[in-house]
Amino acid sequence: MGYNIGLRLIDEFLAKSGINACQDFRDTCEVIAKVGLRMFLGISGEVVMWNKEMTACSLVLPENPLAEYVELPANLTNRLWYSNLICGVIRGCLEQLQLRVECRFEKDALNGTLVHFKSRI
Amino acid sequence: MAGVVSLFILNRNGSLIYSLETQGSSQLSSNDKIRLSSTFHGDDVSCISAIAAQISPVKRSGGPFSFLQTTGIRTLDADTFRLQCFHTATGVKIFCVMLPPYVDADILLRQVYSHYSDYVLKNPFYELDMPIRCEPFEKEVQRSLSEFQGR
Repeated sequence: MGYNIGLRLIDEFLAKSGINACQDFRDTCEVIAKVGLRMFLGISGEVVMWNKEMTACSLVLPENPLAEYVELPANLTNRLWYSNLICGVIRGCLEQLQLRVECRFEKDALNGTLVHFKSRI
Repeated sequence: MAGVVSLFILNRNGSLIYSLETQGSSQLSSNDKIRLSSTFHGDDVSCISAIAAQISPVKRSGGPFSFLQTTGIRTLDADTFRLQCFHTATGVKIFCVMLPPYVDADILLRQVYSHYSDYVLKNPFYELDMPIRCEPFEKEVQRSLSEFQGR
């Protein structure tokens, strides 16, 4: 679902933000965290934990508006990534820009800790 | 009289997905429009924009993401008309043909891109890369065009 949203969202992001092409993956992640997330979710993420080759990083979201009033039932805690939509959106958007990435959740506040997801080129 | 004569939108593969003609002075048939606008497009080797990118003397600044920088024809000035194109990072090209006196249609092209993202992409029945048949989009483009002409 997120992937299809992402395919269409990227044009809106580019049209509304007017940002020029990023120079490298680091820029891309920063733009996603600071401009993209703020534009569509109203939150500003932080990019941390770069690996040595600069091809993987983690985005930390201070709060997750999608999960604001959500509580997972006991049988789904630690089994359902409720906000996996966001990963799909990022993957869809970047694919339209000819960049194949993998994006998954590491930790989710619904499961008990801070939202934290990992993006790898 | 000055002004934009026609507006075209191409998808990533170079096919025409939207065309608009205002004064209708020389009506091209829809096949002609498709053929001519695909000739302008550039990811294939045999097309004008791609050739322009290759013969451009300006060196592309390096870095792993240089393929995203938009190359290709931005403005083509001739004695009787001007063709101005807006390339997006996703491969969509929006271009317009206008008569002298020439003005910079960049604002109009960006507005059309913004309408595309609002009315076309958000339409759940619209399939990506297909011809655009969305009424709100066409209305908004007409409105932007008349505002632009009126300036």
